[in-house]
Amino acid sequence: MLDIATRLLLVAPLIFLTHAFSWSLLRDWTTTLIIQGDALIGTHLVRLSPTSFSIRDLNFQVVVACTSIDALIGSLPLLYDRRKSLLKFFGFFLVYSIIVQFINLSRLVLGFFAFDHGVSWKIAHEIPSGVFLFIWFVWLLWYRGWVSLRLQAVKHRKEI
Amino acid sequence: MVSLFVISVLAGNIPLAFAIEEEPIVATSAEIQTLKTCTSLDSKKIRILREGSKCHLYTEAMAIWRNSPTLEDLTSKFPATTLQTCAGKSPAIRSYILIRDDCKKFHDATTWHRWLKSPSAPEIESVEALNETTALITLKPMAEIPDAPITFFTVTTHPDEVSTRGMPTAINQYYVTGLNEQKTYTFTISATNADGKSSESLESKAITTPAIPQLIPAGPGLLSLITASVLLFLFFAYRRFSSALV
Repeated sequence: MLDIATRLLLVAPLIFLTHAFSWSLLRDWTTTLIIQGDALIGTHLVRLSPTSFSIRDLNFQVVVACTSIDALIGSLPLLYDRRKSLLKFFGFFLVYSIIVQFINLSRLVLGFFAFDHGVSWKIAHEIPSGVFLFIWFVWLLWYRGWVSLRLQAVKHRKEI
Repeated sequence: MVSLFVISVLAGNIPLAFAIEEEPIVATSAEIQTLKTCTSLDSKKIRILREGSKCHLYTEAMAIWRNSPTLEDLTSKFPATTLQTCAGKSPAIRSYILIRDDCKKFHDATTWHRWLKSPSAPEIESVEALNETTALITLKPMAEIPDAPITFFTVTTHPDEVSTRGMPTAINQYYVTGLNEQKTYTFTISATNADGKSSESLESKAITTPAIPQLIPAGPGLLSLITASVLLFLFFAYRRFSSALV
């Protein structure tokens, strides 16, 4: 329990630390991929700067949180497994980051697609972001074995 | 030794330049038809421009001299000016050319000529605000002054009275940066060459810079965090409730 609490306590400082940097290149790439992704599904975003674009007469800025880098780095203490070697953990983290980035970008692309088609910003972007963060967090808990997703397991534990 | 050399440029008996301290410069050819010099805009000192190099940006102006006066020079209504250089006769020092008014016996003297002509006042064709901080001024093509090309333009922004120096693009366009958003500006422009500064152009038409566009952060907002928190609460509440039922 103490181990989990320590790990959870490290999450917030790491997220704050991530926001101390501008991550300009990553934001630039994310902007490019959002624009390219939306172009693939027929939504035209007008790029204003390396990290901003315009859609429906509104200008959006791709900030650090859009790239999910803050949540990725914040999840490091939750993910780190001392039984694995550093190299193995690094390899796992790389694959994990790519998958998270792919899901995050897909969410952003679909969000802007929906927004362009008249869906409100809250429904197209804000609520899906919350759902994404929720699923991500639950997955982290499940991956570390701190929570089971099967109800049977809970029942079983109660019986014990 | 070099510091003894003194230039004497005469234009209607008005000295235009003063003593220079310049190391001997290698001439590019034994028979120089034209000579390029750089005149300091502050001290008016003249130095010979080396082959392939440029005058110092915004502090020196280039002038091009001919080694014999043309018919145009003699009949021109513009005042002319001369410059004397000395080059060594000896083959060993033949490649050196120095600006001075009185050559030694072992020197060949050459007198260089050019017109004295300040640029005419530039004319602003159009001006437009490109964005909240930048305006684009388009100038009408200016008459060329072959002997003293324009060194830079000075654009003055009104009402801030801020002056910036620069050269227009090849298509006579000049970008003025550092403006403020939602402010009305007019501009005047003048040109400078080795012979002086033109008078100010007429004031351009007024332009108003647009407002800086509001940018909406596309990251997860408060509603996202509330959604995630509510879902987490429901998730754990459901698990607890379900296990309590068993």
